[in-house]
Amino acid sequence: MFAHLTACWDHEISEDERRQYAQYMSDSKSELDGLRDLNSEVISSIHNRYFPEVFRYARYRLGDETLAEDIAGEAFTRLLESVNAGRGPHTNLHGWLMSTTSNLINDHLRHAYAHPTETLHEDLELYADGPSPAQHLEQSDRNQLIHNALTALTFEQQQVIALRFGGGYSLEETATLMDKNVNAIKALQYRAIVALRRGFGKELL
Amino acid sequence: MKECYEAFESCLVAMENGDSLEACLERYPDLEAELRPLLESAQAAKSISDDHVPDAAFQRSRARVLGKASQLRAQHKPKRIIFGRVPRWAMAMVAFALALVFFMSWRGVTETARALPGDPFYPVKRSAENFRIQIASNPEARRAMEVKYERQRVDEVMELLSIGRITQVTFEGLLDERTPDRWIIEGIPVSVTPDTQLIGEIETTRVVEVTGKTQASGEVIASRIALHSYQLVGKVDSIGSDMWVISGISLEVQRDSQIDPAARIDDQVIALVEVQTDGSLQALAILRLLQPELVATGVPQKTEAPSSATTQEPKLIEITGVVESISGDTWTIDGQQVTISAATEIKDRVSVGDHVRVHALLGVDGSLMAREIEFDSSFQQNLNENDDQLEEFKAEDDEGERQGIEDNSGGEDGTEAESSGDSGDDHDKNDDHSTDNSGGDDDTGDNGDNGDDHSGGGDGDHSGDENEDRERSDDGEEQDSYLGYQTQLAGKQPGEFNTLLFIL
Repeated sequence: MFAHLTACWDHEISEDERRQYAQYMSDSKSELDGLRDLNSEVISSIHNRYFPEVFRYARYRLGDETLAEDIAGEAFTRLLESVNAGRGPHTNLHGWLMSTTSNLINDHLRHAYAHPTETLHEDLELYADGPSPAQHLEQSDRNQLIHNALTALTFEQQQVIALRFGGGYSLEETATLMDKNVNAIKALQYRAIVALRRGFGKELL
Repeated sequence: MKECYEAFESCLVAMENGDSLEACLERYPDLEAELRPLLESAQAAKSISDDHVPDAAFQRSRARVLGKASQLRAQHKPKRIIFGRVPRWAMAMVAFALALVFFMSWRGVTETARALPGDPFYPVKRSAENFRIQIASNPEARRAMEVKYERQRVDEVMELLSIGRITQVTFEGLLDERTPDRWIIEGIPVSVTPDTQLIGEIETTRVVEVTGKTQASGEVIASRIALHSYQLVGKVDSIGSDMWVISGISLEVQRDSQIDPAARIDDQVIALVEVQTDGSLQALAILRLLQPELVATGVPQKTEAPSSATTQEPKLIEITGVVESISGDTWTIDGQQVTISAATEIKDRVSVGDHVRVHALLGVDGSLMAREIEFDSSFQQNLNENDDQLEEFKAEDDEGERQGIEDNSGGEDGTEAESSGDSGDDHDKNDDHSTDNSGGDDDTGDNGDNGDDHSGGGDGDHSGDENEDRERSDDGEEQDSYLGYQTQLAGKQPGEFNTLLFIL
C-alpha cells in the first residue's frame, strides 16, 4: 500500500521504496490512459488488480458475498461510465474505486435501514430469541454477531473498521482513502472500536 | 484521550507485528483496563476478515465489466460502421487525397499567392480571398479587401497578357478610352465585338466589369461588359416599396438602400445605381438634389434662391425656413417676405418660430405668392434624429465602438433603441420611428417617459399635428428602408454631405 509512502515522504525511505512508488505512479498513469480509451486489456488488468480489494471490503462491510459481488461489480461499472463521460479518476484510481464502493455500500445500507429485509429481521430474531448466547458464539453465528454490531456503527466508523481491520490498511493508507489526516483517523478508529465494543455486549467477549 | 489513541494504535501495530495482547498491555499498565476490551474488540473485528475471493465471483465480475466496456465502445460505433463499409481501396484513396491536400496546403501557401487564372492553384487562391472577405470584421475592412482583390484581378490580367496565356478572366476597372471596337479599361486593351454583351449605359470614366478571354496578341476579347455602378440624375416618376422609377428607369430598392426620406414624386434626385449580374438595376442610394444640407444640419435654408431676377415667368418653388413674423397677408420666412392670399392653403396652425415648408409662385419681380404652407416635417424629424444620433454616437464613443451604417439601417438589433434608452433623450415625437426598431418595444415605452426637450419653443403646441403629418408621409414599408438613411444623414455634418454627394 503505497499511500504510506506519500504520507511518509519526508521521512527516510529506501531507494527500493522510491522505485516502487515511482513504478506505482507510472502504472497508475498508464492505467488511466488506457482506461480512457476503454481498452479491454487495460480494463481487464485494472479489474484483476483491484477487484479482490474492493470485493473483500464490500464483503466485510455487508457480510454477504453475493451482495459484495454486486457492489464491487457496480463500482467498476461506475468507473467505466464516468471515464466514458469524461469524468472519473484523474490520478488515484485505487482511491476512487474504494470511495465509490464505500458510497455504494452506504447507499445500500441506507436503503436497508429504511426498508428492513427479512434477513435482517431473522438476524435480529436470532439474537433476540436464541436459546443461549454461548451457542451463538459458534463460528458463523459469531461472525454474524460481529457484523451486526458493525452495521450499528456510523458509516464513517464502519469504513474505518473495515479498512483497518478488514482490509489491513495502515493508518496512513486509511487516512488517504478516507481523505482525512492520520490523527483524525486515530481518533475515529478509537471511537469506532469503543462503539463496537458496546455493540458486542457481554455475551460476545 | 490523545494518550489513549496513541496507546491503542501502538498496541495494534505491535499485535500486527506478532506481539501478544498481554505483552502490549504491559507497556500501558495505567490504561490496561481501558485498552483490553478495545483490543479484544479489534481482534474480533479482525477475526471476521477473509482474504479469500471466490473465483466464480471474480470471473463473473470480470465478464460484467468487460461487457460494459464493450457496450460503451459500441456507442461510438456509427463512425466505425461508416468506415467499416468503405472498401479498403477507397480508404487508401481518401488517405492519399488527404495527404495531397496536406502537401498542397503548406506548399500552396507560396504557390497560390502567385497563381494566375488557368493555374491549378488559382481556385484555391480565389476561395481563400472570398473566405477572407466573408470573415472580415466590419464592412470597411470587407470593402478594403474587395478593392484590393479587384486590383489583383487587373494585375493578373496584365500578367496573363504579358506571358500570352489564353484563358477566361473577369475583372473590374475604369473605362479610360472608348472607340467602336477597342476600349481601354484600367489600362487593359479590350476588344469589343458584335457578340459582346453590353449592359448599362456605358460611358468613359465609368467603372465596368469585364468578362472575356485573354489573347496571345495582348488584348482581352470581351464577351460581356457591364456597368458596375453609376450615378443617375433625374426626376422621381414613381415610388414603391421595392421599386422606384427615376426618369423612366426602374430601380430596385432594398432594405439597406439609403434613401432620402423626404424625396417625393417629381423631386430631382441623384441615385447611385448598381448593375446586378442579371442586368437589373439596384439603387444603393437616392438623394434629393439641393436638400441634403437642410436634412443634415437642421438649419433651415431655401431650397432654391427665390430672387432669380432673370426668371421671365412665374415659377413654382419650394422654400423652407423659420417663420419670423406674421403681419397680415405678409409673412417673413427666413428674411423672405411671402404674400398670403385667399387661395393660400395653410395646412397647419402655424405660428411664429415654426419651421415651415412653403410652395410659392416666384413672380418675375421676385415676389413670392404662397400656395401652400405646412410644417416642415422632415426638419422636425431630422432634428429629433439628429439629437438621437448625437446621443448614440456619444454612447458609441463611450463604448469604444462605432456602429456601421448597416447596423443602424434595420434597427432589428435594437441598437438605436438601446442607445436612445441610455441617453434618456426625448422620443415622444418618434413613436412611429421607434416602433420600426423591432425589438425596441420596451425602450419605446421608456422613451415615452422622458422629457419633452424637443417639444418646447414654437413647436410645443403642434407636436401632435406633426406626428400626424409624419404618419401621413411615412408609409410603414418605406419607413423601414428609410430608417438607416435617416439616422445616417442626421448625424452628418454639411462637409460630410458634400463628400457623400461627391461620391455619388
